Amino acid sequence: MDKKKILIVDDEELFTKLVKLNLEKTGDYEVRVENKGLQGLAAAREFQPDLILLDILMPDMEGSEVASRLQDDAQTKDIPVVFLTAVVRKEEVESGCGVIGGRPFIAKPVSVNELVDCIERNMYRL
Amino acid sequence: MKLGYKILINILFIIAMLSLASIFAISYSLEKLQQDRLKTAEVLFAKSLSEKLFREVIEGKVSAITSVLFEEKKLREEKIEYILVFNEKGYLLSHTYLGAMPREVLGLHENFREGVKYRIKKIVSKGFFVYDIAVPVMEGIKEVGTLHVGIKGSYVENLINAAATSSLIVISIVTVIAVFLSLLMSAAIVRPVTRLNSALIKVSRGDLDTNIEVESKDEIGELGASFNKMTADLKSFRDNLFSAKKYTESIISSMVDALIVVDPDGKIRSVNKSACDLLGYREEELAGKEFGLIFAREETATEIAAGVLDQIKDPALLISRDFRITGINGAAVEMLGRKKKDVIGQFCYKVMHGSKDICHPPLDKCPILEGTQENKPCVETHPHFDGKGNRVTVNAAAVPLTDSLGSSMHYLHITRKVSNGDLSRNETLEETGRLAQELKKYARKMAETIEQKLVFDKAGLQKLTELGSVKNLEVQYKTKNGENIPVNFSASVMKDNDNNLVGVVGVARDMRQTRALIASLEKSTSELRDLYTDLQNTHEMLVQAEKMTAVGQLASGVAHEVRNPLGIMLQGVNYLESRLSNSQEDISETLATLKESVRRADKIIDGLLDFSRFTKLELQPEDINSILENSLVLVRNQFKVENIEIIKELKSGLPGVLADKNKLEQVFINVLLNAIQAMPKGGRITIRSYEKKLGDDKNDIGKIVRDNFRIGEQVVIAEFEDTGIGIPEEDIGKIFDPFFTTKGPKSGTGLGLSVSRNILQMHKGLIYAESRYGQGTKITVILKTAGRG
Repeated sequence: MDKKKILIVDDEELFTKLVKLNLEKTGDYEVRVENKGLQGLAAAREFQPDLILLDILMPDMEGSEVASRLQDDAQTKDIPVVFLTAVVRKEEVESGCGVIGGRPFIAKPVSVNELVDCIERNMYRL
Repeated sequence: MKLGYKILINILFIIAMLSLASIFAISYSLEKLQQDRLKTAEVLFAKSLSEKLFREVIEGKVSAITSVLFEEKKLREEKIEYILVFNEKGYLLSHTYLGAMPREVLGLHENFREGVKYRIKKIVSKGFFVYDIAVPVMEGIKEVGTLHVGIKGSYVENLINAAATSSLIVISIVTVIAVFLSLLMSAAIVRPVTRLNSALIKVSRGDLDTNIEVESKDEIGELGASFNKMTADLKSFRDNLFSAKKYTESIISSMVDALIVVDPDGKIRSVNKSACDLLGYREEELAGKEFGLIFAREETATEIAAGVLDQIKDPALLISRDFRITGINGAAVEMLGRKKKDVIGQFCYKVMHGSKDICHPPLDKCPILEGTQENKPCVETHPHFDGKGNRVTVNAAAVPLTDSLGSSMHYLHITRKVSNGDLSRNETLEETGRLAQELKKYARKMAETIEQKLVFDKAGLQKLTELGSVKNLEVQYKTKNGENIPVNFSASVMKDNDNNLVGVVGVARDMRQTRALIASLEKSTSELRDLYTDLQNTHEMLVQAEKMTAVGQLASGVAHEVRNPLGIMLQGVNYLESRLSNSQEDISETLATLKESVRRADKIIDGLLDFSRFTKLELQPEDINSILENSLVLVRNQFKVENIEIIKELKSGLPGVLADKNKLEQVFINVLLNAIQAMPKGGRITIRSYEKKLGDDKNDIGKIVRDNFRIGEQVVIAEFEDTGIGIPEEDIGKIFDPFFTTKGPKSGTGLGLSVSRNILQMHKGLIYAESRYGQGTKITVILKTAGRG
């Protein structure tokens, strides 16, 4: 079975690094990390991930802006995006993985199990 | 008869009497004069003739005697009728008759007694009238015969008549003069009297300028002078009176207040200009009319009554003497489910006892009103029927409103709904009895206000007479064109020295402007109050919003800054866990502790976000009791553990509250957990729910009403009263502030109550705390009702 490609776009380098380690350790995922929005966009086109984990609050470009650009690009518009955020209440995102305003969310801090669960749930959703 | 005539008649009568008397006197004296004359002249003539003839008589020489006799007679033919000579034996010796002698003459002879010198005799018979003068014919002292001379009566009469005529002429002239003089005199006497009289008539007609010229110095003159003085006094008195009257009148007419004077029989006697202007009548239109005419009556009484009705919180009706409903307050409208206009004018029995057929029972069969006597309220339980025919069981009390004379005009009927049969009939009746006591207060007030309207009935006038005066009654005048004008009315009775009622003086002041001013003032006050409340609310909201924005921004920042490291930590721990072999238990435990700490930190951030977030509520009608029960289920075990007794006083049948069930549960749980923590040694918590109309309690005003509620609003209340340690006074204001906690850093976030307050704020509700340090705390939650049904 092919490994699923996951792109993580988050400005927290340490966080992305640890998530990459943890996800790859499961053996199911090939993970690429970008710490800036613009670079994330480029990586998405190039890497063609199966799912993008996208932080909302980033210094160079807001997560929502990145998401709408992904949407506008034919090469990336079909890639599912799960937002990462620190600024939601836990209850608002069902067991660490839920939907706000029609978009899937993961609330930080998130455990590996929760993360995997959320990725799997959103992977094939279109 | 006029005085002049009287005097004249008197004088004329006297003159007539005098004239008659003088005529009699004159005629008598004339006759006397004539006889004297006969005595002197004619008797002398007879004597001289007898002396001349005494020889011839003695000698019997008849022819000689006869010739002498004829000779003498011839000389005095005009007055002598006859001459006769008798001898001493009575034979007629000679006479002067040529023909037959009258019979009367033949029997004339009579001898003279001694000493008698002559005799005069009047002989009157038909066609014969003479004075016969007889003298004796003497020889020495011896009577030798008698001589008679007959003087013609006509001659003597003529003499007398001539004298009488001239006397009469004189008397007549004197009489005429006397009459004339008496006329003058009577006129002189009467003239001043007449003048006095006509002057008096003039004076009696009011012309006091009349003056009499005082001519004489007699009593009439004095009378005139006195009269002149009197009229002068009278005039000056009248002038003073006039000017005083004019002064008073000008005061009255220039009065701004409307003045009305009423007769003892209730008729308007006079009004001033202001009254005419106010009422739109002319003075003559009002004079003599019933005083009641100018008062607006029933409308105002009902209006006043309506005002009083509105002050009664329970459903109340005003019922007229004929048992028709004339007034109804808001609460009654609500209870009966009908509009005012549906109920007013209806027979009370129909509304209160629900006769369904068209035939009304007899009017006096209105039991609640039948039972009322004097000022004693009647209390009973009976059904009412709302507009849809639904039955509402009520406890009712009614009290008659009596006027000062004790006759009842209206009944005040007040009801209180029996709540779902929770209370026994007796208890509620007792309660209603207390209500009835309060009712009496209103009844008195109402009766008084209504009575004020009736002051100027006939009976009212009598009442006023007893009172002496009334002051500052708020009544309404009714103008000619039917407009009602509010006036401030005072009246007092006028009495004479014998304490008899002379009339009533009423003064009224137009209160329209004042009323309008008061109304506009009240309006602006209430506008101002509303504005102030709005401002206060806005201010609070702004402050709150600003706070929230600040806190929100802070919270978001904190969340972002804290959660990212937390995320890293969690991922790190997860990574370390995955690299851990099973034997290293101590490290595994440490990692578990780390994970738990991350979660705790995360929870704080959650609370922070919760607090700052304007989450949308899902409001829908909910039963407060079931929310309370749900909340209790979640914490019940903890209560057991902490040895805390739970007392529930939840009222059933409460109206629904508009609420987000989950949020409200969160609030209640917060409150309950706080209570548990306040009672470390166990205790008791009482949980109550009930409904209430705001404004019943003085505490409501200011504390509650200014926030999201208004006076009179029906609300549902949840109360949590614990027997815990309480809150120090200095802290009570802070307990709803974010991050305030008394429990130490381990027990809580310090956000619970402040989140609760925000949730209540979003519900447009209220949460507040009352506490006595060392005794316990009471948390009250007030919620808006979702409306019934």
